[in-house]
Amino acid sequence: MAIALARDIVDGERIISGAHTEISFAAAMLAQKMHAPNIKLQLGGTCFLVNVVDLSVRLPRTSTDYRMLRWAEIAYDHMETFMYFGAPGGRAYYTGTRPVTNKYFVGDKFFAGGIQVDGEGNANLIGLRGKGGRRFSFRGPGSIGIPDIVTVATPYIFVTHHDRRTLVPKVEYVSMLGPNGWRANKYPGHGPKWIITPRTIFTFDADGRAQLSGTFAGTSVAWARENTGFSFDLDPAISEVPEPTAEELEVLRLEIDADGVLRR
Amino acid sequence: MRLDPITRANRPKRREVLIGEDEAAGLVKDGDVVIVGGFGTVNHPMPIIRALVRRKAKNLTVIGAATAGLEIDLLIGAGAVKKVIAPYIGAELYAPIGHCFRHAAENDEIEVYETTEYLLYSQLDAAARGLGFLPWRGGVGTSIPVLNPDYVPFNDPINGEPYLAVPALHADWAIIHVGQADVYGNGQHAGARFGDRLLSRAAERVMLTAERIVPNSEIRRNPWATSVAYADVVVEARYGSHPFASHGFYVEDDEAIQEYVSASVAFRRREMCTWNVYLDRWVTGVPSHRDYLAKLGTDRLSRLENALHA
Repeated sequence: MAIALARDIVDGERIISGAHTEISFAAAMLAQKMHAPNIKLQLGGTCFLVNVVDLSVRLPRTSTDYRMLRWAEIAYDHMETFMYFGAPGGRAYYTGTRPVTNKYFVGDKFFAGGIQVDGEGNANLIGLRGKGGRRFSFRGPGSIGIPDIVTVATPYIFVTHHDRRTLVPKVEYVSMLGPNGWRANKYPGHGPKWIITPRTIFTFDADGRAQLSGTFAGTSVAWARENTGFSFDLDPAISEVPEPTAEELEVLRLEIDADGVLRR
Repeated sequence: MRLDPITRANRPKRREVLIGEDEAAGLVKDGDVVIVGGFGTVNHPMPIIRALVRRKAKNLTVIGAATAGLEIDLLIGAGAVKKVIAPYIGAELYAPIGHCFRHAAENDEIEVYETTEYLLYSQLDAAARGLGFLPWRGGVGTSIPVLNPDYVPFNDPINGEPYLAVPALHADWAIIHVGQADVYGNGQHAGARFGDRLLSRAAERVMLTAERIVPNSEIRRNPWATSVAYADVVVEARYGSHPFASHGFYVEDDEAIQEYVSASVAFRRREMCTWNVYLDRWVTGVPSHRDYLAKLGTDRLSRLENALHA
């Protein structure tokens, strides 16, 4: 998953990586080391921008590890992250041609988790409804800053389990809206770009429905249908995601995650 | 009109605010609204948290940091909390969701104020600025304003776009952990400040725990580093964020956090004996922060310091 996400990052983008940090941190740093040395990268709640191109780093267990500050080139207060988010030229930034800008607080992409995700691309971090009008049978972690960052950036939804409990017909609460809700509520940009799971990658069609666009080695379309709670069409351009290269794995294992946090 | 001349003899001295953790925790009254600073597994004012549990604080409304950690979970498990305001309560890989928080939320034992990081910051910002509300885009169209009617949807009068009106949030106390402070209440962080500067500005009164107390001259050497000025209370608390990390001083104590997480799992499973053994061992049965540190031992604490530079 980290490698697939890394490959989709474009040099020069502004990447914000917050929750469930090990996968998205690794993805962003891998991209920075491999092909995108100019991404402006904010890692976690210890707000700073890092460039790790020529550094050997150690993937931390938590997003607030003090030792990460060694890689930082600027550090700021957490609330500032949100204060100065704003696409230059407002919505035109996402709909028209990209104006020349060096505003580093603009976020282009970030990573959002979900205890439930549905075929409309809605993600739920709040919880599952209880019986008899009870608010929760299961209380999730909370929406964190996900609903705040959506006002400026394009998220990748990622889940660490591909099953029918996670990928559901309809989420019980909405923390983050999919492409249709995004449009209806006039958020800038296009809404989530992918739902990525350990087995597949979904993109969204013109109607805002999830479509299966990629499978990781060893996963068939039949398996995906069997284990996905929402119905989906196949992207006409569906393909198998090329396997990690030796070079990608070497950088990941030696220069980013020597302690094997990702493999835990 | 009467204006008595001031003489050298009656010049009052500057107020010093250094007190002990029990006295400090006693200033927080049952039913108060309390902001707890730090972030995730870092910089939490643990001697005050434990002292609040020891004095059996009740009915607190607790405002956690934007990413609140297990310090809030402990307060919930100890029965001190009526309502919790936080966009997240957990400790990432240690415990993605706080177990005491989960139990209490799933059984309606606490009120959960549904929010997000910047909705919360906007509310604190509004309070700090003396505004009735501030607008924010995040959360529009989601379940958050449905679950939390405090957030009122409106269309902005300039462009007609959808926003939420986010009301100011009152707080009686902000309790913040800093690297160093002087006896007059000036505190400086030694690493990331997270949301602490805003958290401290939004509350009526501020309480600091500090890794070390320094002379006022040390504060004045670099006033740009002062993140909280003129706090009402300062408590000296070396290793005051343990079992969590303190930026610039020491890392998380994995073993101690795991021990807490195991106990909180027991709490969620209603194995109260195990939970109470934990509380007795590390919270209620330990009379002071000094005793807490003695129990941990210097070797263990040094290891956490040394790991910072590993």
